Amino acid sequence: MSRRSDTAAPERSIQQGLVGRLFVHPLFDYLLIGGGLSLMTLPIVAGWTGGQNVFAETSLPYILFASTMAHFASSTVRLYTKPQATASWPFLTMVFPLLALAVLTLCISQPQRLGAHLQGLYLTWSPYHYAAQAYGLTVMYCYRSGCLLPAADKKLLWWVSMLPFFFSFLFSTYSGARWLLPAAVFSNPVVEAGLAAIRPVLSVLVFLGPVAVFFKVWRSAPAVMPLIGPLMLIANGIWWLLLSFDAFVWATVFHGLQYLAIVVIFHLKDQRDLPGNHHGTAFHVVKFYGLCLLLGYGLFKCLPLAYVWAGFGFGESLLLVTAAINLHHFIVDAYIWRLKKSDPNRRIVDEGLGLGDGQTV
Amino acid sequence: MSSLTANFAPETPFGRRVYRLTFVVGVVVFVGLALAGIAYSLLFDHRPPDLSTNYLARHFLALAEQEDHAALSAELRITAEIDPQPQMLENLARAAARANDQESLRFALTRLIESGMATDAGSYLGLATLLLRQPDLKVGDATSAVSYLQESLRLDPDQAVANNNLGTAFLLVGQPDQAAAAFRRALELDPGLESAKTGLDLATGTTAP
Repeated sequence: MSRRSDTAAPERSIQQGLVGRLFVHPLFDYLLIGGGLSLMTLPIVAGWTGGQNVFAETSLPYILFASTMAHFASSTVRLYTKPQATASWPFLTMVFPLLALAVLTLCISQPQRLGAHLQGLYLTWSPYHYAAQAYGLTVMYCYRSGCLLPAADKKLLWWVSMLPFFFSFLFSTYSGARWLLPAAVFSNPVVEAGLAAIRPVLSVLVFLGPVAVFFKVWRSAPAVMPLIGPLMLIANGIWWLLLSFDAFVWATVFHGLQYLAIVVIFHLKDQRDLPGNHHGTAFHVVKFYGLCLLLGYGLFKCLPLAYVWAGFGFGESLLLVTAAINLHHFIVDAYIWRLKKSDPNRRIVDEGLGLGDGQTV
Repeated sequence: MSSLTANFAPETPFGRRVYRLTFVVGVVVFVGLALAGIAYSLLFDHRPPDLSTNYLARHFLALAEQEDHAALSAELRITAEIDPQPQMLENLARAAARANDQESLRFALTRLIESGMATDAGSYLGLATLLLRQPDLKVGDATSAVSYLQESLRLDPDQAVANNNLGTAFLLVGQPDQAAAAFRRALELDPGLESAKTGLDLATGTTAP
């Protein structure tokens, strides 16, 4: 008898296991959350089609507004709409916003001494944040789909998920290692040779790693890993490796779409479960997304101009407000996705373990 | 991080009041700043902040059109120190050269070259020339200038000025034979280059230094 059939998890066909237990619909989950849309549009945004990048000229500001800016705002909207958030995280919800504004103002007033490091921290943390999100979502889809990852596989999955971050940390021209260490280190011939040797190996591992983990889990776990897992890991690798010049633009757009999709699902679940809720799905989705757009507009478009009016330069005001919003998002994110045993959202992750039929919730 | 929040959880009514007050102040400050941003835009732009406007690019373009090179160089310097992207550094190098802001020009070219972002012969030539023009020139600077000029000539071999400057740099590091070769190449490309003629005389011992 195979190990897979010994499991307590319900019997599911290989095909169902590969598709996984999804949130909305295979198209929605695989295109938006899985990053499939980014792979489909990759030839256009990367400029491989040879023609002018239509997204870069006219529609990019609106794409950034609808995805990137709304996504950064969504963690804050989520924080203040999540039931019991203020009681669970009093410092984060009540003190941290003013603290963040104070640190931002201090950095804008000392742009060369402090602001440059705020920017360096933001650019270094970004690829880690995206890699951690790809890891978290992969684990979540595994659990939902009844694939209980053995500890060793989970650890391996984490390391594989982090490969795009390691690549960005080592090879980004103005963040990561180059932010932390003096430039002279990288002109050392030994370091140059070492990095030149590591680069192709790491590039290959970023794409082969997820495939290897998938087959390792196939052999060792009680159920197959849904394909959306390796898809998310490979998509994240593509954003950081193949879109190198525009990585921070397009990675945030696609990551933003992924994030918005999943945060709306969790928000919707919370709001529908609230006692006395009389509103339907559309109301909660439109309200949440509308708040994200409004806050995103205030944060990215209005806040920097206030600093300009106060006498600070355009450069430091616009760049450092963006850096601070990013860092605030990363920190808030570290809390709101921690699902304690008592957290009602834990059901969204766990419920797949006991179900064997339907593909979506 | 969760233990951190537990430590910072207010345990007394006074602490809870302080937290609530901090939250209210934070919200008021943020809303006030956002409204101030809208007011600034309405006052100076006659419309609310626009999604499609790249305020930073528009601001730098306005300074460039006013030919305020000193202000442009100073503002680009701060921006490039925060976000040293190649395009920003190249813009800074151009503005600093026009404003005769040698320090910012050197900063931009050094960052471009050290980070491997410089792909044009002009960046290497510009930085080498700045190094050679320093009043307190050191041997190390001349050695760096040699390597930058060699890289500049690798990218574009037919530069008379770069060959001339390479000759000067070789003279400064005590290599007259290589200096003579560089000056001869400069004169091949531009026979009227007086500094190359003088340099060749110095390198071959025709004229005392």
